[in-house]
Amino acid sequence: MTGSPRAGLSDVILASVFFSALYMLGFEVLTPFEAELFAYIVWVASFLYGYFALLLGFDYVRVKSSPTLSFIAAVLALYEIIVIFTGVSGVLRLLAVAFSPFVGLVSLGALREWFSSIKSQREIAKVGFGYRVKSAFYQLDRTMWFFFITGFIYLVAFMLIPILIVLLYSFTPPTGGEWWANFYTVLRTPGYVNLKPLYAEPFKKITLPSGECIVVLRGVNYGPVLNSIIIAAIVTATTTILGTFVAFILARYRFPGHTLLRVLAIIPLFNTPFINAYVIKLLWGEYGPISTLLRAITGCSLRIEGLAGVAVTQILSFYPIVYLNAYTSFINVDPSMEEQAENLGAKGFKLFRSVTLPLALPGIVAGSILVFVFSLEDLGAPIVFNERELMSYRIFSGLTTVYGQVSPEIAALGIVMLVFALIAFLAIRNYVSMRSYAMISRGGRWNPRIRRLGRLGVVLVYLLVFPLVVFTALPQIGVILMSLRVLKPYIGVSGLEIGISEDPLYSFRRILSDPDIYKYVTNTVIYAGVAVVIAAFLATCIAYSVSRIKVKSITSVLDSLAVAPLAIPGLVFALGYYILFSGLGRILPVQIGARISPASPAFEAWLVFILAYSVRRLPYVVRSVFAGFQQIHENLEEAALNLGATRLKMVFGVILPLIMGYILSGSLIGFIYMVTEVSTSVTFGGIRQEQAPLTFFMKQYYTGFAGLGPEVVAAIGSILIALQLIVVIVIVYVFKQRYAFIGI
Amino acid sequence: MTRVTLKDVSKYYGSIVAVDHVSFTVEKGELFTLLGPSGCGKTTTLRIIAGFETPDTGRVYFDDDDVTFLKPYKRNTAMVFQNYALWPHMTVFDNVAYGLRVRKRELKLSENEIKKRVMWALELVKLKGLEHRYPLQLSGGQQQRVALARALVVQPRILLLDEPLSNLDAKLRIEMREELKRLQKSLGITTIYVTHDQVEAMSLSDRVAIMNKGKIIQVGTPRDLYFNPKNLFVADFLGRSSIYRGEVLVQEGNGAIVKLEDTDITVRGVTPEKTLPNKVAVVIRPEVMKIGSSEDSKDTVVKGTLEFAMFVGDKVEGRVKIGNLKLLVYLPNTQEVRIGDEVTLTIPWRNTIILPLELE
Repeated sequence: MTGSPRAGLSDVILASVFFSALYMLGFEVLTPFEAELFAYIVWVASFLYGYFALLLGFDYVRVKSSPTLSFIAAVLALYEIIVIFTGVSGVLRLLAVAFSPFVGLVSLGALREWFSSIKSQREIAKVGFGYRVKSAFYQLDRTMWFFFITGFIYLVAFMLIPILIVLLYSFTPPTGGEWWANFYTVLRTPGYVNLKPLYAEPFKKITLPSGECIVVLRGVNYGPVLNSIIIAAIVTATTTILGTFVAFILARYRFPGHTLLRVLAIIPLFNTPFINAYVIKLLWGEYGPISTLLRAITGCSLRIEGLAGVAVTQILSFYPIVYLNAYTSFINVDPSMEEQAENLGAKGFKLFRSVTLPLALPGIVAGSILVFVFSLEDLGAPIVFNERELMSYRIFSGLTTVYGQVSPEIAALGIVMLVFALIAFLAIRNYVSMRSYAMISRGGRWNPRIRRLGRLGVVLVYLLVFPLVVFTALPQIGVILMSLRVLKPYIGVSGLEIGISEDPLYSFRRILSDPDIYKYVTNTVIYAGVAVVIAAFLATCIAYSVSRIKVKSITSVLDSLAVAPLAIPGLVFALGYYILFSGLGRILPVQIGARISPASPAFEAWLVFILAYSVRRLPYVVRSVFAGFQQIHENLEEAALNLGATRLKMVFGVILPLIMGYILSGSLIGFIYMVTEVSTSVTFGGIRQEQAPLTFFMKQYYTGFAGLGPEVVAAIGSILIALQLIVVIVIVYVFKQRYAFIGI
Repeated sequence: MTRVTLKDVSKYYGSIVAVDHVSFTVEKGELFTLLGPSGCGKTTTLRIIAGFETPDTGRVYFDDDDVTFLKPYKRNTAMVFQNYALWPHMTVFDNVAYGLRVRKRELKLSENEIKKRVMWALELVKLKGLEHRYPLQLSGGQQQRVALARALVVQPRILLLDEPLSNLDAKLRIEMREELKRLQKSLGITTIYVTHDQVEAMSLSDRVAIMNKGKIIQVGTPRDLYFNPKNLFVADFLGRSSIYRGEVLVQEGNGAIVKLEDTDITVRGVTPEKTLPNKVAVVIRPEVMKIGSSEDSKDTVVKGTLEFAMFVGDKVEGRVKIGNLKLLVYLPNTQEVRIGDEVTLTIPWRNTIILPLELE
């Protein structure tokens, strides 16, 4: 190594301090207008400093290969983008300026590396054009071609085109407006982004005449765009910490009650749309168990409302996603790596921080990013807490209030939501794929490091982890109790009422006997059934093409398309289908058009449900099938081709029997997620009620209506819980696969 | 029987050159081996012949047919994979019968005929009686035989073997080596064999091609390669040898006299080069050296002390120090030697090879 001075991290930090100081100085000495201009100049300059640092010889590869630094870079870049889009100022923008030397360094470094890799490939490529084309087509025999094209066309037609139409539509300006007017409205007007909220206190203390005091936790309203992002950020951070913590305890330590805790820990995963949020609202109200506890300690009870309620609900329902990923990642960390570190003297938190966490991090953040997207698109909690100041609720009401017409402003809002979700997803996906070393997902090949907990540790687990896990499982337990009519769905004279019912199975009988409910159930089963068959077929086509075609440029496009639905909020799909089908309804002849246009009374909503379900839940099936293909050595296929089997014969004779388990388990997961799908079900269900699926019914009736009270919805919820439990058991014990979302 | 010809074949993976303008011909019925260190491109070359990869330049011919872009299932080659690639969900019988069943109509085979042929192949590899087992129930050696039977049963034009013995333990490997050779000769199939094990290559092959970094360095019979290496890479790669730098004093025909660097010793040796550069490498294999002096006056006789000796079973490996020179020698295992013993050595000139210093 040469002894020449290289720019290091300390230089970058120094630059951050320098540019921040310059930024603040501007506001001190300049007029507000000049200062604003100066601020942007400083910002750009601090970003460009990154390139300067690279020229000085800052080792970009170091950032790229360090799990911690690259993770920080991805998160900071995301922050920077959010600040640019929403136009917040003050301390938040100052922070963005402070971060930008590092972000600039990393993004420009990545860009530079990308360019140089293209250049070096050009130099090497002495391959004749004819040979290239021939090689590409050589791999695409008729079967492969069919697989590839089928997957590609389906995704383009039912995912890409609807979204592009939303994008196009969002640029339809209001009369007299500029072409970007809708985006200006959505990102810069107080109706959507409000930096000076009317009430800045997140909670309020009310003293009733009786002397009782209630703390009302509401959150601060910064307008729907910022609210959604803030909630998503809070939910993601909290679930990540909570999930990682619980997962680490369960993955590394053994103590009496360990198995029970493991079972309890996945209960919150069981998705029961609307009714679980409703139960959370009850439990966290001023008469719920939490208030009872708090009243005994502090004298005040607690009620959560609005944004805070949404955040709490989302934290409780999404944390198992991170937990499952973190648990699997910890199990998959090669024990010899930890042993080696211990051997060299690392122990306790140091060992966790320096070896275990970095190796498990990719799997953990893969879960976190899903939580981020899920939180952005979540519609259940906002509806139950009646919180309209969120992007998801705005899009939902924009879709359902004015029949036949969606305003371009709502389309723009959908695009904004999509962009946030997509950028976050892509950044993390890039990060995760770069660190695939820690993601060997074949669990059980080695014995993971397990330690017995000391006495103090056991006490801590019982005092801290157990209550925490039980607490997160409360909503589901509450749903089951409510379905058995033990937990009453209303507040009585003396608060929340609990008591044994004389007829605990009444609600279940009701489900079986009521022809209306029966119709919703069959609707859902038919839609999800058809959609899952389509999804399984597509997933096999796509996963096979992606894992076997060796022309990278082709496969990476298909691969990205196939995981994209994970990052695309369901409401954006709803918007896309709505606008697309409205448009088609106008173009096509009346007989067909009337059945396709959502505005018409003859609208065939089932078509949308099947399309939306099959596309939105495709990634779950694809990931599972893809994992199957990765388990099969390519030699097994080549041996068959070599012996004279055409690809079609080989696929049916050799491949399908070997990966059937993966296809089935992927389909099961897909089915579950289809049955509990909310966004498109609720929006389109409202348009054509007799074709609506079960989740629409749950939304309509969770508050109680015409005798079909929350108890019936809770009974449906209990059935869904049972269904999901069965699926988990089948996947884990029959197919011997892990139930986690590691590969995004 | 089929002749295989590669003309100017290359394969690139991004910026990596896996196979670099390779050309060779495998004659009918010949057992031809691609030998080289791992990552030298030998497996890629084999996969190009099988049709799992297409070359980025060049052509592949079976006899006179251009098969460069022919699909693998139309080539009628049969490959034995390093990991055997047996289908875990099929029995031994079904595994072996697969290649016949998928072409049943084409070959006009009845199920009875298939059974007869499968049993023939299983008998050939001495596996009769295990046809209803599943691959996971078999030992490594048995799995290897199933893979071989599966390849042979289709009566391929060309048999392709990708390190088929490398997953077996040492004893079994030697046994299978002999059996492979016997089978190949009796069936007379043109065979291309890939290995990094030079003993395997030497003992099995009619001809061997030595590859390094995607290029073919030298093609020849095992004996030819061993005794007449074309360059220093081949000399160093095959067997063990002591290699010394030296300066050419005289060159006459295929012989030369070289003064070894940093010593007073001059040795006489043979060279494949017409004109040697001034600075050369002298390659002396340990097993050619004799204890004691020589009748032939052209041989070099040196005296030294035994600096190091190691009993390895079939021989004693020793190092003899003569001034600044250290020679690797093999001593008979019956001879008791002690470190510090005086040793007289003969370096026979016919087995001393003089080569240019460049590796390629």
